[in-house]
Amino acid sequence: MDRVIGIDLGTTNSCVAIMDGDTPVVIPNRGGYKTTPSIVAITEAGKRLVGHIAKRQAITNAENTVYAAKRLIGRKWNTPQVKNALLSCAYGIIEGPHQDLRIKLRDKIYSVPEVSSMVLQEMKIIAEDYLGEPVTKAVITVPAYFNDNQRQATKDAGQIAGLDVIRIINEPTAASLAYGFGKGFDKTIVVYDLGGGTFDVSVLEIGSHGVFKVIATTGDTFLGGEDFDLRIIDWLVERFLEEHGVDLRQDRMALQRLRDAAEKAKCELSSVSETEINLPFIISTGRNEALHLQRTLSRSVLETLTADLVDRTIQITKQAFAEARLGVRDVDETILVGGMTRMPAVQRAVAQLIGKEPNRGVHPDEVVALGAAIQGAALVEDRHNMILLDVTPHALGIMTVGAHFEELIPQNTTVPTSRAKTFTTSRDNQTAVKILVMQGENQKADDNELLGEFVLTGLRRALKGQVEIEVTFSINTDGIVSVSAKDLETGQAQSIQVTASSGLTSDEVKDMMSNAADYMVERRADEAFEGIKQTIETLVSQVESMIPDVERVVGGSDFGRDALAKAKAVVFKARDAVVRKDAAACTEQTDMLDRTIRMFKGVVTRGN
Amino acid sequence: MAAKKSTPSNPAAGRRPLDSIDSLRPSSLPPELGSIDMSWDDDPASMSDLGLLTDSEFNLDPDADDRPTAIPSIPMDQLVKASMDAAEKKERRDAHEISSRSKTPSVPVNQAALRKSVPPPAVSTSSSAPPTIPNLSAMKQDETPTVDYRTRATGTRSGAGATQPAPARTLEEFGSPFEYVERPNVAAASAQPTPQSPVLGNGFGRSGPSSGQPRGAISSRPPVSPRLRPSSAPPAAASQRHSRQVSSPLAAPGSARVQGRFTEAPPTARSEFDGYRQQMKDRYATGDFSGALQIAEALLAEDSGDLEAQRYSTSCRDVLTQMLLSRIGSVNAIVKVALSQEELRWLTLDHRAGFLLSLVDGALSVEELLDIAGMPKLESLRILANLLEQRVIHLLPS
Repeated sequence: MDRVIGIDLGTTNSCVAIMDGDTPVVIPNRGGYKTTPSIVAITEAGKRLVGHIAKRQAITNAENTVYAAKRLIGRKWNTPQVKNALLSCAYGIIEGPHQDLRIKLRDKIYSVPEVSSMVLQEMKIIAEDYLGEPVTKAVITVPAYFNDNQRQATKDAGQIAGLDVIRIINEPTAASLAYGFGKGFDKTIVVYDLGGGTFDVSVLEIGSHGVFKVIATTGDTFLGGEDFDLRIIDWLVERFLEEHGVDLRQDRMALQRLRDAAEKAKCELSSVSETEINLPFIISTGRNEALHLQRTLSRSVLETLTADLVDRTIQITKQAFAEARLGVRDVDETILVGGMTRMPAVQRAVAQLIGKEPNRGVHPDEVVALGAAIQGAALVEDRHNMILLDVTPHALGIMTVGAHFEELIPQNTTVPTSRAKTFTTSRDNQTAVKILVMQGENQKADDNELLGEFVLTGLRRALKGQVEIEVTFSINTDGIVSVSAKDLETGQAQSIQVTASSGLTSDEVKDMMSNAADYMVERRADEAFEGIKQTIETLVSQVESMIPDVERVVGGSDFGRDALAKAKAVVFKARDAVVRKDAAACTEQTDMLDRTIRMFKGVVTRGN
Repeated sequence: MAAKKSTPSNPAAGRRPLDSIDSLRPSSLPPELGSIDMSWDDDPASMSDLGLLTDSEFNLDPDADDRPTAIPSIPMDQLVKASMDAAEKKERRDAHEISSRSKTPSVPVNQAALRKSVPPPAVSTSSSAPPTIPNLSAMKQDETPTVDYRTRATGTRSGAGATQPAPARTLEEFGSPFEYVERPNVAAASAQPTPQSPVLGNGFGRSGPSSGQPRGAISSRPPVSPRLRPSSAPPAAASQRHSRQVSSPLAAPGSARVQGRFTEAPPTARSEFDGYRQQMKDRYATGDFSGALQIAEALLAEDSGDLEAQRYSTSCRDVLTQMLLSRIGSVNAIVKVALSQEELRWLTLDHRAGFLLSLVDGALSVEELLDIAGMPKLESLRILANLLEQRVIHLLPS
């Protein structure tokens, strides 16, 4: 049976987990970290960097480093979020051919799903290296507020990465699963998710039959751990400016170091009361001397610096309660998600608001991926008691006269579902109606997402309001929305199937899949070659270290001279094969080196 | 110590004090060292014994640069300028002689000479100029950018077999990749693939290298030898004067723009750039890749489409990169910091070295460090090589 990995594709960090027997486990990456920054960069040489290594050059190579691609995935070009990103992102964002957006890195244009696929591909590689076998199936989590296009774009990203995304699930739902909720009891829980770049708070009703209803979800897509880091950076920079008259923000290298140090200090202050920030040679002055930054930051100072940020999350949480029409007393459990919730001040604030201690049983960084892994295993093992019933993330409806939005399927309706509503014509002798299928919660149709449109023709000529048209919305388990309109009198009908679009055509997705597959082949070949190269280097070193002994024992004989000449030739050829990156020749020379070593060992043993 | 005479009027020294050999020693000796004879190297008698010319004997006779000499006491920029003027005169004289002997003056001769030469590799136009490149238009014609004074002063003395240890250098001395001057690594340089390999060493046109003079090593003699330029300089580099007489082989193919610039540019601008161009070629021919690179980058700053400068720039970068890589060893090796934080603070490093050190986490390889350094590769390599030499970092097999 295929293994299914659970991936938490985060805005700032991603995490991959798998079921090991009945226990979900997070898989560490090569560096030993359990989360990998969702950052992709292209170096000057055209090399792709993903994860920690990309993060470490994110400021010095800002124009070619994509971070927080999740904020852009599945968005249309003319949306406020994209306009906002245009102002705040250092990398180039341009309009795509299908009203979508593309990212320019070096001289190449990438779609957003393509960039996200690079992160997913890294997650796939981490899992494959851990399991020692190919991985093809995945469950990926997305924020509860993601619309169908964003979900589809995430699916496309998975597909480009070579993954069959068997289910997209909401992050708060996944977190709840990891805590074991949904097993035979009804509960109302709050998921407080303060990640690196975003803050989401969701109120869920968990039914005893595996129904996870997101009653309300709200948040701030520009509030997260990075804002806390920035406060520390500002604090350091201001003091340095006062002390030396040098603004460190003007130097990218200094800023990169400050950012790394600020994040490290912030993490340390979750467990200790003070930490030292030590950055030697942070900047050079014009007088050929370098200045050092050395400062001690205490937890209390950090809490003072970031008090307003914590308060903002509390205000947003209160807003979520209001939207859910619940009071804090209605909440049974609170789950903390995201690395920032390790901060004692955050934990205190949440506990104070809810009136009880939040759940801390599972690592906040890993909880979402663990939930995704649990769901993935349940899907392939057919454990129905654990299978989530998907819900519509947003309301579905049509636009009516006056650009009003008429809701047919409310938000959080369990799918599959079907709803119908009857409408009438709005003009006399109207023979056709245009059905605009929309998604969202706003009363104004323009503020919602247009999913598709079609025209129903052949209506009976009559006064306005006399012709009745029944519009039916159906959503199947795969999330495909079918909308039909039927003239109830004549039976004339028209329908449309709305498939969410990521902004990519199927041909584009295929091309990207092919490119991603090529990249994987190349990478694996490079890794394989690297292994052979290291073996050769070891063997060559062994041969070279034995040459003096062999010379001593048989150097004066014809045999010895011949053997030594041959050995040197083998060493030369092996090195040449490495330089030429010729894997076949390297393998061949490995054998030759092995034989040489065996022969030399024999000679030396007999000689002694 | 040799080459002691400080020349306050030297504009290059004024602009970049660290480029000057004078900056490597204190301006006044500490009292406890006052009794030490620091002038052994300039002793005329001892130098005559070695067959070397003393400063006073040095002259700008065009033939003089075929002889091994001591470090000239005059400022290097003046020396180079004078040498180049002499070279130019001589070449004009030679060209005149050839043309008077032949019905088809100079063109066939030049073409043949240029055909034999190996040009620097053709390059893409993507090479970018680092921020430290001087503004060419702001430089005066008689200023010589960053003469590799130091290395010339410390190089092997050809003919005499006498070597002088290089003065201890600090990282500050290498503030810019273009200030960095190192004796070319023979193995690395000769490993350059042909035909892209620049012609290294033996830049003075004798039948073979002088004894003790490695190929590519920088001689202590005056840097320019007009007689040898056609054979030692990269092809068309041989002489800009040639490229004006005939269609420049460096410019071809697709050289219309370059040719057009030569013919259409105002005479003053042309001569000014020609002067720098010639310096670039001469430096390249004598193995001063850092100096050649600096001039090439300055030319590119003036005209980013300058194909010739691009080719020289790329070629110089390639050679310098190879040299530095050979100093570092394997790019796959894992870099580790060898000193404690406290010890680090006592070093004399600049912020770029500090930045690179901050990236060293004991898990990244040299190659990965170069990828994330955010600096030009050459600059990062130079810093890493120096940190390695200073034993601030050490390398572990991957």
